Amino acid sequence: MTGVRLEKATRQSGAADARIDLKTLDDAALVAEYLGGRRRAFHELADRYHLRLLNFIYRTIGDRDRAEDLVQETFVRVYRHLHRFDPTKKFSTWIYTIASNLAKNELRNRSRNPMVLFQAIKKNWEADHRPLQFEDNSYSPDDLFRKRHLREQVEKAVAELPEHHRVVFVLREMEGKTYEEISEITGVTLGTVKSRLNRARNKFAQIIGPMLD
Amino acid sequence: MRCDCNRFLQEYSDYRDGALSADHEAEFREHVAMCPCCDRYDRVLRAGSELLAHLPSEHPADDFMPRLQHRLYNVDEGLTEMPAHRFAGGAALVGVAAVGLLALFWLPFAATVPFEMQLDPVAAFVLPATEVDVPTLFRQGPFVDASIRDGGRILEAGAAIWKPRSHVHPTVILESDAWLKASASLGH
Repeated sequence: MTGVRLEKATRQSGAADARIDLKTLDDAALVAEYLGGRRRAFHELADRYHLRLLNFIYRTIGDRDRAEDLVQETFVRVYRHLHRFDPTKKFSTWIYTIASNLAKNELRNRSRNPMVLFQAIKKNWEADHRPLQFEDNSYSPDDLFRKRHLREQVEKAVAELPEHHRVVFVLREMEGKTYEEISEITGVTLGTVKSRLNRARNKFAQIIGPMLD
Repeated sequence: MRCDCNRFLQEYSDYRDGALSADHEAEFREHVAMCPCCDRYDRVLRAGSELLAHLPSEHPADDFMPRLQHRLYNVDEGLTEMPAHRFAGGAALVGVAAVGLLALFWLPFAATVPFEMQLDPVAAFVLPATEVDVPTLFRQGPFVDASIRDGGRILEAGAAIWKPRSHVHPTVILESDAWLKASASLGH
């Protein structure tokens, strides 16, 4: 029954899809389209954000599989509460706020069970467990080794940051969010964002400094 | 205020992210050019950021979108999604609550009403003295063999410890599932 209903809804929205290409719309317009009855608009939003959210959550919690689960949970929550979204705000900030809260909850739960955290970090850090990747042939084997080693060390350095600092650091350095957006996503003041970011950078520099000399 | 190393470290993020005024930024640039430590700090962080920006991107599993769609259908259908461990915990809680309620319901009855069933008396004929099993050294006695008869048919037979209250008309209580009251004549 579910599939039939969805197919019907998709067919109904098919005609409308022909009128406006969803890919050309910004997030706010997609939300409006979805609330206006075009289900495909939500799928477009999911397409836009799932990779970014996966990487953000993965860098925050350090467990790839769990990160994927949390991205799914993020979309389910967005889907449930999209009608409550304030259109005067940025959609990306809203969805990152939800993802960030889920990641924080995950870290909090893990801190009650340190063994789980250790296993997750170990699993993700061991080079042998990584899938094979095609490398750039323009580098010599030594360069490739050094490059891979550096990447791993940088990932480790991020994971070693204290939780509060890490979220801010990842949002700024990897997601390119502004201070204001980070403040909104994390629910702390602008001053705290700056302070945490500065400390995170300081710590990061201490960890990777010896490797980059 | 001139830029020194402490100030540089404290306000580095503003410098890096372009949040300083033009004058302050010029002071910071001047300090970096003169101070090897702060210059190194700046270079390390910029290189680190460069590495971070080029970390390989994680990709979701192939079934990510189908799984998401399935979950969204469940939301449409109003089906509540509950993790398995939560479901198990909930079921256990309901079970314990049900047992507790039943216990509360039965407790007053169990305390006040004795569970006793009175059956109709059944006549049991103790076999004649000649057929009484003689206690052996290994058995504590005296024992009597008793049988419950319905006319000539033996319904049940067994042994019981006999504790006569009267020589004339002893009453034998046979331990059984029901109360049995029997009169026995031992023939003396």
